[in-house]
Amino acid sequence: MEFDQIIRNILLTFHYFFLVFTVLIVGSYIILAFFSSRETIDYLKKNSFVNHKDLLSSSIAPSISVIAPAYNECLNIVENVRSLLSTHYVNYDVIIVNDGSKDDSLERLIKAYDLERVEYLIDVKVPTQELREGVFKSKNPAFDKLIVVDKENGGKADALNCGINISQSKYLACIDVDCLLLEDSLQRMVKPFLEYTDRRVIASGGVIRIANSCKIENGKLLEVNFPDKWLERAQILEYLRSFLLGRMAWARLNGLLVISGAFGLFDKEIAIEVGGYDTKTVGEDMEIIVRMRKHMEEQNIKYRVAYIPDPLCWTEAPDDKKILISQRNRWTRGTIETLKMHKEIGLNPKYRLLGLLSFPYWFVFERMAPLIEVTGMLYFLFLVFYQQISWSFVLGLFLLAYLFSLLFSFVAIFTEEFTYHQYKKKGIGIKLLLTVFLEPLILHPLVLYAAMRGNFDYYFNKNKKWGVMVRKGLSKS
Amino acid sequence: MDFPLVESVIWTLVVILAIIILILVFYLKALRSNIRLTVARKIRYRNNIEQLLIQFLYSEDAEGEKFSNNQKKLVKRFKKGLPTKWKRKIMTSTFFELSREISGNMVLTMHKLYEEIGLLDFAIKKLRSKKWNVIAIGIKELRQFKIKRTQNLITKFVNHSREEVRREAQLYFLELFGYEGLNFLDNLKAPLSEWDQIQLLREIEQFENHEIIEVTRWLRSENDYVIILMLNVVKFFNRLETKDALLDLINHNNLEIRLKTIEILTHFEVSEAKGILMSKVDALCLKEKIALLGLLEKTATTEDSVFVLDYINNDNFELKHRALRVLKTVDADLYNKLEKKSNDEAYNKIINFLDYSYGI
Repeated sequence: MEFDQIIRNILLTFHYFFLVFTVLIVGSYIILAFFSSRETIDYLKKNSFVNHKDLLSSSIAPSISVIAPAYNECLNIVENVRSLLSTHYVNYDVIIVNDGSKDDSLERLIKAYDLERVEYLIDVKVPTQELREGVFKSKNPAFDKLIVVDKENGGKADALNCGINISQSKYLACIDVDCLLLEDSLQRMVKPFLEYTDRRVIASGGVIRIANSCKIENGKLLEVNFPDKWLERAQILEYLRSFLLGRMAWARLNGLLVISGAFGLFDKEIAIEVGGYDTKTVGEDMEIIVRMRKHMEEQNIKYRVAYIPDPLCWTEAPDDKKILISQRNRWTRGTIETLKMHKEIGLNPKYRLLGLLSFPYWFVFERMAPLIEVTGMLYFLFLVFYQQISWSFVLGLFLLAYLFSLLFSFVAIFTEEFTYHQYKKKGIGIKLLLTVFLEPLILHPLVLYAAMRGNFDYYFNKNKKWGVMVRKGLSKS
Repeated sequence: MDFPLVESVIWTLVVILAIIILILVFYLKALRSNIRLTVARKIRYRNNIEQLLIQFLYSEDAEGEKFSNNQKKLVKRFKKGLPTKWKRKIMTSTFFELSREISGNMVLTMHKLYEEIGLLDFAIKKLRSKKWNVIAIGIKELRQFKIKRTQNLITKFVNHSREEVRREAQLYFLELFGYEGLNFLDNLKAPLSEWDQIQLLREIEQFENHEIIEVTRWLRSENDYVIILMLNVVKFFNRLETKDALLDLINHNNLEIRLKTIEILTHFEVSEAKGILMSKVDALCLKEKIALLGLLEKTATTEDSVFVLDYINNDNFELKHRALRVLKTVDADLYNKLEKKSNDEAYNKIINFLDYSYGI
């Protein structure tokens, strides 16, 4: 075979590889959009005549522990705890785990909630770092639902594990302390656990919404606004696409691999059976779900990971490129670590849908996608360099990719408009439209860069852990 | 390298997508405006219906038997909204909300109006729908307006394949027929989820206490979910007279029922249960053993201390904790003679906690 022919074959292989990958990714998005719409419609139908408040007066409402790890959160901790304590649920407690904060978080909590140290018998079901000052409860009966634990620093996963040991409830709501939960969030999140008789619900997750620029007072969301900064706007769109399309669809297929660490509800018994959160990964939220699912598959018990599309949890998104990149870098490393840790699941028929669909999909379209995209770009530069380019072809391909990305953003926005319609104010429509057109140019390059950095750090910078996540605090928005 | 076919496919798709997106841009704009207008229109219509209703209620004849002339005119105005689905929906919800704020004859008048203008017929028609959610909404409406005569139409939905429909049918019987309504449990083949139980219990808890006269037959039901529901009822209404049936349930095949039974026997502090459970302790699973020690916390005597001693070195933390707690309560002498230090960290921790703390 001549040299030219070999080169031509190699190039053709590349061409077809990228073509097949593109068709697969677009096809998968179309299928996911279909499943997500079915799931959303079903959810809305099911809940249109449900009164979640019935749980509030029920003598058999299951108990829930809200576990919120806090590290150097002194600026907002008192307000955030107040918000958590105002949740409308009948049978719950709030466990704040002060994870070795170097600031005066604990002192502020002691002062604000009149806390005193108590003896607390802890059954250590999941090993964690030692307690520092111990366990605190309020002397004021108004705050009797509050438990504060002060421990040595061990990271978020370790703090959550400490909360698991402290909890005496049936279910665990693991949240970020700076998230704002709507008052009825626990009522809605716990419902999937109560409504199945033929399978066990092991976890439920909720949609995370971006609270930047929203009006918040005393830990309550008063007004939903659309931010001015493009970076924040683009993330709103990205979250809508991810939560309302992607995760809803996977929930329909019962193939969800991740529940956001910002707000998730877990069956405590199963969480303990699998050994709690893994402290060695930065993607502990995804890892625990994969491990719980794997455990259920191995036990051959019918189970479900549920998902709630209601906008229940509002959080602050990074408004700074550096922080955004750091956050996405961590997400990438978390994904790589989790997939690597459980690689035996991939394409393993023993794990049924988990092994044959969810896991491979996540590997190809989440873990590998940035690498393939960058390879494609390099290949394109190579072709430009060797003048092997049909510019009409390239332009068509780029436009097609761009238009498809717009199309999926539109599907997400229409889903939002037809269901929850959170951005009601006049004038937001045009901003949303502009965001749809600009998001692939503003956010996507940053996310891609962060993913590549994540890959690099994972392989060549093993010491890197969480990275910086500076928050301004929701109450100051 | 040229791919004329692929290229032309790509450009065709680009054109199609560009047109779709252009349409979507305009549609989004129209949709958002439409949502705003619809919301405003619905608010206006709701306010209008509220006013008409108030007028209607205060235009009653002195006899109150038939509609007055003014009321007949208002009925015609109500009927104008009937052909439109969203108007019917608003009318129904407004009627229901207002009926909760009034009392006496006015409620009856409102129910008469509900029938007169034809909303009842629409609700009954919903029961014939092929869509489960429409059926469920129909049953809910009939429940809200307390239409008892449709019970024969609703009976078949008690075992419907969708739990939402089943639940609405079950709530219909409980809310409208009180204790008598519980008879649907005799024919219940479907399961009752925890969510169902919460809803049903909420209704049952509204019954007058004396109304629940006989629950024992349901404690012997072939449907395990009925038994669990009744166990909750027994606990809520403190039906201690069901003790014999409860003691039988200790040997039930279903673990959940056995655990729930022990929980209730603990609540009632039935010491006979202790003997039954202790006699077959080796056959009990861990959860049952923990529940048994919970029962012992309430019912143990000095005679039980030997039994409890077996568990103070158990591998399970909770069993060990409960056993030591029971021992300390019923036989302080024996408890004080125990070694206070051991190689078992958990044991030391529990002893320390029981001896020196008043914490949780």
